[in-house]
Amino acid sequence: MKKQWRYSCLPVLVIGAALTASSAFAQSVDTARIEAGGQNDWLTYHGSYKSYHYSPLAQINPSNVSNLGVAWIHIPGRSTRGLQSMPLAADGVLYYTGSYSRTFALNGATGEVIWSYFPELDEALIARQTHSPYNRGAAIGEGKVYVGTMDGRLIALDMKTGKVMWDTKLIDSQKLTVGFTGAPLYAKGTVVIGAQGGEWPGRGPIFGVDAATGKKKWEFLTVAGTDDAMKTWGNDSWRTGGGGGWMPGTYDSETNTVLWGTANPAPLYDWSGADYKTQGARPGDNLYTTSVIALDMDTGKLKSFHQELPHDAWDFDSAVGEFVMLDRDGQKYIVHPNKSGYIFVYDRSLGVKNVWRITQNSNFVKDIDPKTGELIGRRDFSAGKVSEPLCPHISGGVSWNSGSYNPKTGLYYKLGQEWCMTLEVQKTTPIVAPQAQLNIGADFKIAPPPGGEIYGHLDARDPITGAKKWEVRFPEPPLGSVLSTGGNLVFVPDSRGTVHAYDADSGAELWSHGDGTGHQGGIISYAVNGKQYIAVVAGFGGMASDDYAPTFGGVYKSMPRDDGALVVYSLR
Amino acid sequence: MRLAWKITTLSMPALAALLTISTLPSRGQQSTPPAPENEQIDVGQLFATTCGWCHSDGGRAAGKGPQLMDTKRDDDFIRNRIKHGKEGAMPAFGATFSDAQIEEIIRYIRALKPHEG
Repeated sequence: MKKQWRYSCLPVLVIGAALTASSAFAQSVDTARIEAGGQNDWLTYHGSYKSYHYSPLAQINPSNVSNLGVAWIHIPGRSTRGLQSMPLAADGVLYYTGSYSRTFALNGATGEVIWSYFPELDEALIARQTHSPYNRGAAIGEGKVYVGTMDGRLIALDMKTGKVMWDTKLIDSQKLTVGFTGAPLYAKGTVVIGAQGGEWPGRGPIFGVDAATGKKKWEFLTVAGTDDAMKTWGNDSWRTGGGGGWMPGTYDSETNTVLWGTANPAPLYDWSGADYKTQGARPGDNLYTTSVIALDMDTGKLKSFHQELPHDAWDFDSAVGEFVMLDRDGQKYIVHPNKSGYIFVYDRSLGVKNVWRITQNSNFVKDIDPKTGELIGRRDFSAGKVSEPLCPHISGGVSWNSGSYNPKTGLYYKLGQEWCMTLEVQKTTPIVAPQAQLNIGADFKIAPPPGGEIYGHLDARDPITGAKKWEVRFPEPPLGSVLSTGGNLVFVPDSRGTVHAYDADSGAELWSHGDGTGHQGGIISYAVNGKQYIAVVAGFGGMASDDYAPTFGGVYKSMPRDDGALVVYSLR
Repeated sequence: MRLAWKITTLSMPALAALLTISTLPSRGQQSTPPAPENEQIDVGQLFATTCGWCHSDGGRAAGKGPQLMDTKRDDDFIRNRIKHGKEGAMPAFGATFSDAQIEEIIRYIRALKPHEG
C-alpha cells in the first residue's frame, strides 16, 4: 500500500511541476537567466551567452533514442530559400522565425499556435535582393521577441500576444539594398543586430538598440569605423565597403562586452597580387572586416579586436557567430571559427592563444601561426586565371551555422566542409554605389579537392588544441547547426534531409530520421512538463545549398527551395 | 579572348539609378560621389561582379543558376527573367538596367563560347 501511495502521488507532483513549467511567461527572460542557460529552455540563438549549443537535458539518451519520433510539425508557409533559423524556447513556449521574418509562438508540447506575426515588408525591395528573404532567428528578453527584417527594421513583439511594441528603421535598405537576416542578441537592456554587408558598398553597421523603447543607442561601422581603420583602406577604397555582421555574436557579462564576427570586404577577390598593402582594389588590411571585435555593450565603442584574415582576398570572413566561452585550468578562452576552416582560440581580450584547422583541403594560406595568428604563405591573386584551385570553396570550410560544445565530454562537435573552386580574378571598376548589388571580382566554379571528392565531416575535437577524437563523414557537406546534450548525444541535421543522433563519446550512429527536405538551420532541445523535445528546422535553398543540385544531383534535383517545416521530436 | 561587351547607351532613369547618391541616416551609411557620366558598363565585368555568383564561369557553366552559354531560352524569356527575377532564385534587375543594357546582356549571353584551351 505504501508503495502504491507513493506511485499515485507521483502524478500529482508531476502535474504540479507541469503547471509550473507550462505557466508560460511566468518568469521574465533577463540577462541573468540567459547567462545561466537553464535546464529546460533555449533563451538565445547560441543557447546561452556561452555559445555552447548544448542542452543539459538527459531524458533522451543512448538507451532510448531509438524510440525518438515526431511529436508535432509546424509549417510556417512561404519558406522561400528554405528555413534557416534557430528556434528559441522559454517556459514551455517555442518561438521561431521563417522567411520574410514570419514569427511564431507555439505551445512547445503540442505545436498549437499561440500567436503569429507576419510583418508587412517592402516586397519590391526584397525582389531586388540576392541574399534574401530568409531569416535566421529572433531574440527574447524583457517580455519581448525581437526580429530583424530584410527592409532594414528591427521589430519588438510582445512575448504574450505578438503585438508590435516598437518598430525601428535602422538601415535605408531602399538605398543600400541590404537588410537584416541574422538573429539579434539581447543582453542588459540592449538589442544588438548586425547588417548584411560583404558584397555591398555600405559600411556594414552593427547596432545597439534600447530594448524598452526601440531607440538606437549606438552604431559601429565594420568598414573604416575608426580613424585608424580608415587608414587601412588605400585610395578611398572604403567606399566599396563590405563588412557587416550578419550573424549574432554573444555577450561577456564579466566585462560588459559584445563579441561579434564581421564579414568580408568588397570585392571578394582582389587583383592586387602579393603587394596588397599598396595595390589592387582595396589596398591595405581593410579593418574591421573579417575580424572579431569586442564592443562596449553600453556605448558600442571598440574595446579590442583581432583581424583573423588581414586583407581577406578569399571571402573567408569572420561572420560566424559562435564565441564558445571556456574555462580551463584557470584560463578563460574564447573559441571562434573562421569561415576558412581555421578555428581561432583567444583569451577574453581577443589575444590569440592558438589556431587550429578543421579542414583537410586548404590552400589559401600555407598555415596560420598558432602563436600569433599571422598568415603564413598567403595566396594573393593577380588578375587572370588562378592555376591551382582555391580551397576551400566560397561556401567555406565551415558554415555560418554553429557547432556544439559539450561540457560533460569536453568535446567540441563541429562540421567541416571539403570542397574547392576554380577561379579567374577580374580587375573590375570600383562599385561605390549600390546598383546590381554584388561585387565579387571573379568568375568561379565549384570543384572537388585535388585527388578526391567533395565531402563533409562531423568532428569531435578538443576545442582548445584541436585534437580529434572521432570523425563521421557525409557524402555532401551538412550545412545545419549541431546540438549536443546531457544525454550524451550529438544531433546533426544533414543536407539530404536526415537527422542523425550519435554517441557523444564514440561517434557511433544511434538513430536517424528523415525530415523530407534538406537542413540548413538550427536545432535545439527544451523541455515542457518534464518531457524533453528536439526541435529542428528543415527547408533547403540559399547561397550555399543552391549549389547542391547542379553539383551532387540525386535527391537535390527535386528538393524544393521554397518549402520548410519545423519538426519536433520526443520519445514515443 | 575574354568577351567585353560595353554598354554605352544608358537610359536616363537607369543612369540615375546607377549614379544615385545615397542619402542615408548617418555618417556611417553615407554614400559616395556620383560616378562620371560617361561611365561604361562591361557585361563581362558584370558577370564577374554580380551574375557569376550563380551563373558560373561567366555564364559558361551551371552554378546556383543555369548555364547561360547555348541556352535554349528565347530572348523574351531571358529579358523577362532579368527584369523581374524569380522569387527565391534570382533578383529582379528591372530597376537597375535599362532596356538597352538588358539587350547588351542578352547579346553577351548569345556570344558566349567555351574558354580557349
